[in-house]
Amino acid sequence: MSEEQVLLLFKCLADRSRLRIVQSLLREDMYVELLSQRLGLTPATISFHLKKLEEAGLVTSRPEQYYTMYALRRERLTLPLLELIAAADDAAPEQERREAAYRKKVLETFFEYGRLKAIPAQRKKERICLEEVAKALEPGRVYAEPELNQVLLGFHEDYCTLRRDMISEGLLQRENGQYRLRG
Amino acid sequence: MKEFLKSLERTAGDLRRQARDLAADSRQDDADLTKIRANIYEICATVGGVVCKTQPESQWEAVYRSKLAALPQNWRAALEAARAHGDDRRAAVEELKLEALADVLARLDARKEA
Repeated sequence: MSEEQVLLLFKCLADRSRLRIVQSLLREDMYVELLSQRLGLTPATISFHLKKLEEAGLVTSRPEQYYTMYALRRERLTLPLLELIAAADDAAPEQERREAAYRKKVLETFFEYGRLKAIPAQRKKERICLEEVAKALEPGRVYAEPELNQVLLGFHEDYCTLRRDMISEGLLQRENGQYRLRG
Repeated sequence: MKEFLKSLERTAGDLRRQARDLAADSRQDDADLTKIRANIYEICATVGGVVCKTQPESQWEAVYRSKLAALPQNWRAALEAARAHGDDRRAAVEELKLEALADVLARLDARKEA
């Protein structure tokens, strides 16, 4: 488990409401409405917390009749603290970690459900977003302009700006009206 | 009408106090969600205040209702998008906003009946 995952797990548990959800799930698997009744929180709030617990790897869900049942991943909770802390000894250098965190933040800010909400004005942020867009293109493949536009349109309606900026950022190269990713 | 708007401001104030208590009780996310609800009551009070200043009293409620009806369009779209993408956290936030607005409308109805 990486340091980030361990931090996520501790942060997730450092919340009284989530701790109570975990306590309830220790007794039995439950669905949102039942947890909501027992803990006096709205179903929306319970769903919010369950999603966080799921992201931290503490809870799993399964469909059951009309409900989605939530269960604890007990194997995660039985790990000794010392073992968790030792496992969090991340080899990634600090600078690398900071850059990865920055990148993640930029992508979370500008992307929503795989589409760009806006093209960042700041060059550094735009570069990060364009690199993400470039992942949709196959390395080595030659794209005709309409074909490329279709791919870019999947990210933002202003595909011309995306295409132009990907070229100026050196992510794409154009030759005789055809495009491909730069190696 | 002024009393109705004051009641919305009181609810927003109560929710802000509740949010502070929740944060102090190691429930930061619940506090943040409560602040979101408080914001909705504040928005509704502010919109009501503006309508109050610009419309004659006889027109106030109809104009206010039309303004409130326009508010949740983006929230509903965001809720649908969140559900379609399995984004339960975002969906929960949008649901809370819609629930708060529904409460404001229910209070407006109750005021009319009373």
